[in-house]
Amino acid sequence: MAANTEFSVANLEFDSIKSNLITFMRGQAVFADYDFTGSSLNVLMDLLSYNTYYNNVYLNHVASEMFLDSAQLRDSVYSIAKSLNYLPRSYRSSVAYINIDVNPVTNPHQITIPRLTSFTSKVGDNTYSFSTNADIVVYANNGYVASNVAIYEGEIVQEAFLVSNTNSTSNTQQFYINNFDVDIASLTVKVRASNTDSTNSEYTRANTLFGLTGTSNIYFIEPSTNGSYKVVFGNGTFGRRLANNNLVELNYRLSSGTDPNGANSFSADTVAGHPAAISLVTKALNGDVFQNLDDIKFSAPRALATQERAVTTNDYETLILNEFGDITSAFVFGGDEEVTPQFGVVKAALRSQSYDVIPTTLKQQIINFIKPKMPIGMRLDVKDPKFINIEVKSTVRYNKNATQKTPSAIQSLVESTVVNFNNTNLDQFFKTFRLSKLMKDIDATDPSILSNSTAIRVVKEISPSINKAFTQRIEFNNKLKKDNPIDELTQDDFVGLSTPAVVSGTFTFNGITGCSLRDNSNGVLQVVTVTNNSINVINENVGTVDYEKGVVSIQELTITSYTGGFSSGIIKLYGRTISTDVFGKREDIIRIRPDETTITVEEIRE
Amino acid sequence: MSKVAQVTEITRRIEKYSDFFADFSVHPVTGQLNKKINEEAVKQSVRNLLLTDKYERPFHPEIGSNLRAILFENMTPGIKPVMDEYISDVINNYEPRANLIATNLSFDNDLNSVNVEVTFGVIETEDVVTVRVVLTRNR
Repeated sequence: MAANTEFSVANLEFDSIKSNLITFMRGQAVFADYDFTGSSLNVLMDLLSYNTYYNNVYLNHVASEMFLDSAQLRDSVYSIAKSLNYLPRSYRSSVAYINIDVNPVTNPHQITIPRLTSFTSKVGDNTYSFSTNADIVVYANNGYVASNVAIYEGEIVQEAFLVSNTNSTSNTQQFYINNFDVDIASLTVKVRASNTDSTNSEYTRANTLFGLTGTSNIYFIEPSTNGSYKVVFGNGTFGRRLANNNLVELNYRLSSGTDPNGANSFSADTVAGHPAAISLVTKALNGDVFQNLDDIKFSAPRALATQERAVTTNDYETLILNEFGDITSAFVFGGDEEVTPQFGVVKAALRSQSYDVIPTTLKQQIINFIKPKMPIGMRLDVKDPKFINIEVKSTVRYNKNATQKTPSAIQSLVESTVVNFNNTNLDQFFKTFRLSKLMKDIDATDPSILSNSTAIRVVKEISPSINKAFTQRIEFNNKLKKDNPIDELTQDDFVGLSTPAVVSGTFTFNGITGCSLRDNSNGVLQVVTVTNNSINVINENVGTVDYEKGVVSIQELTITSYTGGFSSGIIKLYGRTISTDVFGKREDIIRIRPDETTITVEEIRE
Repeated sequence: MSKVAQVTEITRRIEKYSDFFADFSVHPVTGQLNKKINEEAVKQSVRNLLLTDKYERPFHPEIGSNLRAILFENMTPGIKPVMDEYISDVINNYEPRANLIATNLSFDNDLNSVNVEVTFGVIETEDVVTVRVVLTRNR
């Protein structure tokens, strides 16, 4: 039939499908009323079109849910991730570290602080409960002090399941954890022979079939529906198979996600029945909600490549970023790439969301996590990033006639733009600061902004001990722009106009206040005092400046005192780069801090 | 050959419009779908439109008379012109074969129902036909 040859099946919209049906009906002469809305034939075509459209949508959804890239439903993503042997990250409890000083009325030889001893803390208006996850013994000869105790946020829950006939005869024995906000890391599984048996066996979590026998007391964790998990036991060949009437006990912690992060003051009525003083070591961090779908889509294929083993640098980065929510960026390299090569060491420079300097406890957590996955004979060294801060000074001109906003409102908007620019483009490894992009963003902040003049300097911080010879190599890692050499005797008024490659904040040197470091444009670092029209060199040589490499070496500088800087105890060293693009190399992280951003607003009427 | 078999063009009934029965009834002998032709097809179409509410047809919420939607309104004199307008709108918009002549509505207060009589001419055949529909609640 000629009409059939023109029948199109590629259209997916209701109207197109119906129009195709009408085209088809035109080719035959039995019923002619296909074009009239009220006719039975037209109603029938509506139904056929609707049915076809419905199937199109249904099949489209089925197809898109079959692939990791296009799946939208959490259940679908979990299912595909499961086939890649990837376990999506669960809720995770915040962890804080505290010292506990128990003060018993009597003087026992030792006191055991039991597992799940509870502590409370407030964040905002909310109170959160933290608890220990192991018994801790403190002794009289140590003053009953427990140091660096990890406490985990969350409520403890116990679930019990009786193995029924149905379960024991099925191929796999699996039990669903009924809370989706479970912290899987906290799960303990015990099995009793029956619900009247008082003894139990503890089962351990298995991630692989290697080494398992039919009597191994193990369980597997698998993702289940709606973001929850299930505990799967062995089949008698790989892992012990549960018997009828066994009682399965699951103990785990429910996490409050990210909310308790930052908790820094803990209290407890009593500890092991005694009064106790609690002091903070590290505030609570690393709490997180379950992994979002985009993150699973990103991580699952890479985890398959990693196979839970840390071999290549990408393996380390994937494993660490996946496990520690507080770590936002990672750069891993071999110790042999260091200036002084170190063999057998893997170096991981990590950027923490909460800390510029990562606490020792968190570093140790990361090392403990990676260690079992590393090749034998290797060790991990977790390093802090080297920050290159950008000082931004911007003068923004805006048309007063084009807006009702006040200068302070404009200033506030531009400051937000700079913060957003930093969050979007900087503050990670291997990011480059580009001045033109920042200026473009500032101009686009508000339609009334006409132009901006923005200047930058790179900033490093040093913390020398006072009254001690201080030597340090400071790497800006960007070419520095040296000024025309300035003669101490003839420069006079030109001091105010000179722009040295390196200057510092002020300090007291040899009892002279207001001293600062400054290069002499010939690669020598000097201690000087500077006013608008005079410059006095106090010490002619306290180091060198390599303009090409962007490296400043301070040698044997003895400072009497200093207070200036971003916070006390820090002297800032400012560098003027040749390029307006500032590159981050290796462990460098380029960032802009609000404290080093100065926005000046000028009103213009035009 | 019988003389009766000779049919001229003038006396043969032309199937201008053709539709099947809404109940899919079939011919008892041939087993094929029964057909409604010409003014009967148009009458069925008009009846379908009168009994269709808006939002009833998939993807075309605008089709329909919406008469049943006012079934639970009070039977006041003001309701009649509204129903007249609904009927004329649906026929004028969706049944190009019908040329509406008159609408006659009679209210039966005791049975809570409305007898709708729509009279129209069928374009091209010039037949004048009347469709009667009783609007009442089902239960």
